[in-house]
Amino acid sequence: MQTAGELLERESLLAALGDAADAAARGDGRTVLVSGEAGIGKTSLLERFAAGLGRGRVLWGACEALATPRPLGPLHDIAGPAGAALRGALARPGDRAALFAAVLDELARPPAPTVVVFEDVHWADDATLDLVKYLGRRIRHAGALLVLSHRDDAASLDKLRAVLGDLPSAHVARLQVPPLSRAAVERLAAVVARRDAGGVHAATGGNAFFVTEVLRQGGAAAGVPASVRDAVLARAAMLPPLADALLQLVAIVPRQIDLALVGDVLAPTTETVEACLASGLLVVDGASLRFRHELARTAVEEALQPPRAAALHHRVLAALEARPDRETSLAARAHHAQKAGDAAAILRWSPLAAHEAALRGARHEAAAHCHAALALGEHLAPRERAALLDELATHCFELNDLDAAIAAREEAIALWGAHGDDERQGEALAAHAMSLVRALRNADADAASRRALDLAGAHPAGRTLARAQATESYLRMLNRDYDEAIAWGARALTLAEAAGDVATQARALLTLGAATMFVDYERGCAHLARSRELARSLDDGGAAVADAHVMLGTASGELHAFAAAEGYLDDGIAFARAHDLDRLAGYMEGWQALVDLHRGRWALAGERANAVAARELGRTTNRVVALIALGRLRTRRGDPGAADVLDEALELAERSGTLQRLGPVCAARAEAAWMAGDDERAVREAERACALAAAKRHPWLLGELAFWRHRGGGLVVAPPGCAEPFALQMAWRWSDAAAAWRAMGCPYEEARALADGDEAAQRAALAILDKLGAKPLAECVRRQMREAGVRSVPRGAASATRSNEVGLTARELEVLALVADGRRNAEIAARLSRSARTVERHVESILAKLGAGSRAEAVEAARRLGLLAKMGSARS
Amino acid sequence: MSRYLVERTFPEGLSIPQTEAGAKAVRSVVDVNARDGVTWVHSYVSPDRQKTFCIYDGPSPEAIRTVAERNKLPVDRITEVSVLDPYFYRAA
Repeated sequence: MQTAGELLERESLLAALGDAADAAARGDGRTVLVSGEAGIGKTSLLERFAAGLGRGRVLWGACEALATPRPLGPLHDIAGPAGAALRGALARPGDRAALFAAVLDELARPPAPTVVVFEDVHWADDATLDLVKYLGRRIRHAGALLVLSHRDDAASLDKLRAVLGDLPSAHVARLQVPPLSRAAVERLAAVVARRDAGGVHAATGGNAFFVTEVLRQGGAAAGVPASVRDAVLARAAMLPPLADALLQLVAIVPRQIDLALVGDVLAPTTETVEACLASGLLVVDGASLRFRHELARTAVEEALQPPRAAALHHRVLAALEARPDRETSLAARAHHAQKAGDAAAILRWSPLAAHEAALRGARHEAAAHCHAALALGEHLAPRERAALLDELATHCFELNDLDAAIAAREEAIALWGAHGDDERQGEALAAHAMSLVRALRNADADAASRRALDLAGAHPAGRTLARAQATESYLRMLNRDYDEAIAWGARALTLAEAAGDVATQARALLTLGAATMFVDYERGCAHLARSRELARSLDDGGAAVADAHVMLGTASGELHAFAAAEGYLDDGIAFARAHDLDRLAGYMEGWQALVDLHRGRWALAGERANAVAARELGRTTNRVVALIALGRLRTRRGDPGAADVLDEALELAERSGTLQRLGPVCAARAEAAWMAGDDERAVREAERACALAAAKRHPWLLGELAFWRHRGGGLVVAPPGCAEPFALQMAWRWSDAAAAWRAMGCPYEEARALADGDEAAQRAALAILDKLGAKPLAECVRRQMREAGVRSVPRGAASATRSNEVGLTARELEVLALVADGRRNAEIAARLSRSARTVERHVESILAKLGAGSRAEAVEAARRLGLLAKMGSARS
Repeated sequence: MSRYLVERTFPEGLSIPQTEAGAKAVRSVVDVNARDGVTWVHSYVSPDRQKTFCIYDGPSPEAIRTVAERNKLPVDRITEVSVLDPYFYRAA
């Protein structure tokens, strides 16, 4: 920060912010990211920008460096000056969708433009990051400006990468605040008559806050401190003892402390406060007191002796607890309780803070509060401990930290068991099964689910049993045990209806529907449509509705009902995107890539699959689907990299051990092996999953896997239960098979069937394959035709080429050069060993392509276009 | 980022005039490539100008095909390659 009135070398940044505000005022809203190291001058820049705005309004919020930040901290800051609707929505903690929508409404309110500043988002809680993502994706039409400042060290960027990288880049501007130049430091140094500006610049690296701290010390005799910390502590040491105590109090409260709290804890005299203000270390900001910069606060806080710091935290906590609850955040109380090391207080506040964070969707923070309470060890009663572990496991599951979720849940299950609480143990086991299955540990998941059913079954039927049954139905559906999935789903549905548990009804219908689709497609879709309707009334951010879309789209895809799948997936992706359910959207995008591939839209399939694979780097189901699409695409095009992605896909599929993953991966690998001419390996790859597909009576996976065994010579007759097009092909009924694939809109598969046919069919196959760019299979068909003695096997269609702007062929260019040389057709014919008639045709074609009425005009046009020069260069 | 050898056939011969128009054509290819993170390093051209062997850097073979389509350039085969330099060859 620099002194008032002087803000050097920030003109271009201010201009960029001004332009963004102008655009927002015109209705073209955007996000501006302001980054730079701590103390570089981000706040000063934004304060100057806000002060000079001259229209619209500014809503200012900041994130705090609490051990565990308050959920939606910056939103609480801006709610005061904002409208009553936003304050009302903020007071209803459960309804996040309504709250975020209220924020967006607030931003769109006149006077335009509304500028929302969130400072220090590198300290933001999960819910604030979700809000940033929500606003960033929608800010354009709100005609508002969202300004986010953040530090640019590795840890900060790491935390923010996923959120900031996901904002629509066309409406995001990134500004980096650079260090002050030596010239700027010289100007500032001149004001306090220091002559060692070069030394100051070198020591501070041009960090604006550091520079001002050094220059505040006055004359050069003081020397230049080695760090910001030294500079701040040197100045603090010059304060009288009472002022020092005040400084320490302010230092243990991140960001700012309200003056009333200062009075309660320390009751400093006016002189003491003024001494601190005069030192320039503290400033008054409205009704609160804060350090002039967070760097100075941390310097003083870190220099405190631990017992002294704990005592101060105790006094702050006592003062906070003496106030009405709504006046201070639970996160602040939990923070001071922890820093004071007060076990009773941690137990009082951390579970409540965890609960609040979970309601806001701040999962990392909720988990951190649980950890804080669990760290108390023997202070916790076993039931308290089990409940906290359950809660922690749920947060970790939602955060996709499955190892942590599984460990916490196992301990909770053991504790509930030791206390004979069957109901809680049963619920924990059912939840445990969901973590295990997502971690691809299907067998363990099945065991947990069985235990949950046993425990719940020993008591009067109700909600708990309904949930256990819905979980079992889900596991059986994933395992493609349709009958069992349907039976458990139906039981869960009946119980959930009787208990009035809508969420479990929607879950039961989800798995019941998905499983039914495999035996009675229409009926299954109807169940899922009902699940989706029920889910609309749930307050889960749209997750259950999106789940129904996922099931409709992906089960249709697995059943090769591609036209229907496409519609469901399109709707589902739009819904999931609109609700920021990125994991589910990604899964459907992976499937959409597979559908595109089968329907012959290869370029689109590649784009989608690569986008998903680039986003999903972990071992997730989303990644497997994208890898299969890429593997198939590369195999069919003859492009490199097919083996790499299919090896990785196999590794992931084997972890799950389920047909749903193994089937498609093994089929794709068998196809690649067969295409490479390795029949033996094709059979081996297909056999890996063939028995499983037969046991699960999956017509399409069984059909394709049997087909590759058949092609590789490992199978003579198709087993029963294969999907029709594959069964037809294995019976060498290529014409019927081709018709079936054509009816399904699958051109590659149609051509593969036609390739088995007579010469006319093979020619038709080649036409399709050439159009798709399916080089390996096309070459294979050509080879077969030549070996069968077919004459004039069609060559591959030449793709559109740009040999020159007007499209002259090499021969025509040669003729054109001779024409330009003044030669007659007969001469040219002799020279090129061609007939005069051929040359005549070339010349006609040249005139037509150049739009010329005569040979002279043609030569003139050719010169203008540089075509003759090129001929020269081609020969040289 | 991977390196690829892209083989192309121009049945009518490749001809890019060494003029402003030719330079513009080449630049437009480079610009279109950049949108997909693809870099055209350089090419080898057969004497009859019907075959080219182009060295490209790109994120995926799909990206190579996408820009080829946009640039109206044919693709026969894409092979992933790495550099072997005989004069700096060392035992690993």
